[in-house]
Amino acid sequence: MAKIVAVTACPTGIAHTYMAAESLKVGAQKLGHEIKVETMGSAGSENKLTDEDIAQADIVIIAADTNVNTERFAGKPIYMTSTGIAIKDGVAVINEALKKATVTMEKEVAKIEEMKAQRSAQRSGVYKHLMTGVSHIIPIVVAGGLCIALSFAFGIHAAEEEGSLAAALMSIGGGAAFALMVPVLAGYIAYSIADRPGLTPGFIGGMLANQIGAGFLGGILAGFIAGYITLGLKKSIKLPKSLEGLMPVLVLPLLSSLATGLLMIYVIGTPVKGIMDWLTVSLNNMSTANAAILGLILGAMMAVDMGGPVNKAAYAFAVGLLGSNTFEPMAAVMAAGMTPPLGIALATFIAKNKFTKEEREAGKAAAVLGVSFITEGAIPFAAADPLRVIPSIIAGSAVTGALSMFFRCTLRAPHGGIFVLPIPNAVGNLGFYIIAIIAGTLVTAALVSALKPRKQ
Amino acid sequence: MNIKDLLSEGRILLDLTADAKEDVWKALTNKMYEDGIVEDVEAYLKDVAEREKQGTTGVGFGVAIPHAKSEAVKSAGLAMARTAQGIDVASLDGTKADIFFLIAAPKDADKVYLQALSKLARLLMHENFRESLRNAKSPRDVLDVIEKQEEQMS
Repeated sequence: MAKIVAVTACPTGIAHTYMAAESLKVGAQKLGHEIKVETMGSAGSENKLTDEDIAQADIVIIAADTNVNTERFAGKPIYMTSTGIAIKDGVAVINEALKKATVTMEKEVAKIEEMKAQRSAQRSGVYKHLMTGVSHIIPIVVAGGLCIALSFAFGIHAAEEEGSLAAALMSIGGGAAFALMVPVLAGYIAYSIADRPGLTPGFIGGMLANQIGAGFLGGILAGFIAGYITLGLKKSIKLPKSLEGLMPVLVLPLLSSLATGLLMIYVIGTPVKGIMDWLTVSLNNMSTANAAILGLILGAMMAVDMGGPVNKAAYAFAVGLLGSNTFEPMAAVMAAGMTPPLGIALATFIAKNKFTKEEREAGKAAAVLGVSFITEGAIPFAAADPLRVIPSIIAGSAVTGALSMFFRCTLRAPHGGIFVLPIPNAVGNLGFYIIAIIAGTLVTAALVSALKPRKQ
Repeated sequence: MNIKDLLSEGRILLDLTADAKEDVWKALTNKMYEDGIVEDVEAYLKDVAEREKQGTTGVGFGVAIPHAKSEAVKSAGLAMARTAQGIDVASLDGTKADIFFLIAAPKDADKVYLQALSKLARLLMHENFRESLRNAKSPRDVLDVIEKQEEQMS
């Protein structure tokens, strides 16, 4: 007898949702399995599955014609089908599900990717706006940072020779891409707040932050100011119908840019420049011990919620500093973001008797996600056993972050996992960087293996 | 909420002859008008047709559950018909329908409306229940079958 949990849902959320639920119940009864079905109908979720239901279930069946969030089923074997098929033959669906709902590496990876997308869709408020900005600059900074790294491949001063390829690479990366970083960050923060009209004052405010030297902090402020000013203007200005066409092309861009720009120049720019200068000077002249402590904190932040707001705060901080030519925190943050899934993957390998067959398969997926710097790969394990897993991954990431900062490792690209390591000059102090990653992975693996109870 | 309580012997039509689903709706709506559930037959039928346009209510297994919330409805109610021949309702599994449940609900009666619909959908998934409805000899029989099944499932 198997324990099954199921979710049924259809777009209108009425008849088919309940018919599928009943059909699965009847099917399970006939086959002698235990089942609990949650119906996600237009009256809300009924018969809601509890964490305990899910933890005890052998498999999960999702019979839905709409998108159902699978985050809470991380690490469980899932079988997906439609309400139509479930209604037609509940017995067949349950038999199929018991046969085919397995955890495979590919499915786990796909599930985590889907969960990441769902998580970002669920962000809200200030956090959402900030992450919209950050996600738009990542590719720019990756491209720019790696072009600069390649330029250094010709020699650290090669770019100073005019007309050389090294100089060209430097102007692509440093002159163009990195110059765009803060304006685009500000522009898309404002876009997230005020929609398209936010872009203009956001870009302009971000550009001013650059020129003033207020860096990414100035850019973030410019983005929020531009966004909320535009939103306020949009709501408060009422033009006669005949002139409404002027709103998006003249009135909004002019007024919002003026307001944002003047605030940046006369009010915000200078104090923020002061903070930014202090920040970069202190980061660049930090004692080794202080650097290690910063690395420890950033590392722990990367692991504590595995891709959640705390993780993203550390990440955004490090990415922002790239624009001010500060590369150590980026190295620490990426390394520490890789070790949680890597460490767990290693644990499933060295302590086989403490994991189920499904978990060992999911461990392979975690390894793939870990080398790609997708910290979320640790979530299925953390969700199943938070009290043992989360402290273990925090410890590993903190060690890696501290070591990376201690060795003064640098990283010029904000993403890419191990795949940026072979690119010449992308990572400074490469040998010790790898040591830092391995050390954290070993710490996490050792702790998880030691803390986990043996499986019968 | 019980389905049985929303029905009444007078609103159960057995071995109705009809050519199209609209005829069935009309016959059932007339019964609901007689019982004071529906106040305006034409207006209510228009809303039922409108709902049907959004997607078929032929849920398969030879069953259709047409329904509408409408200004023309005074209080929530249900009517049932069993037709002599199967009628095309564009149902999802391609079967013709011979069992119809028509749900009427006032505009603001979201809860009872959804409950009736979901409860019926659940009931109808049981093969022996559908079988018993098709073998019922009288409206009284139908009510007994429904009561029995509702008890079993609660």
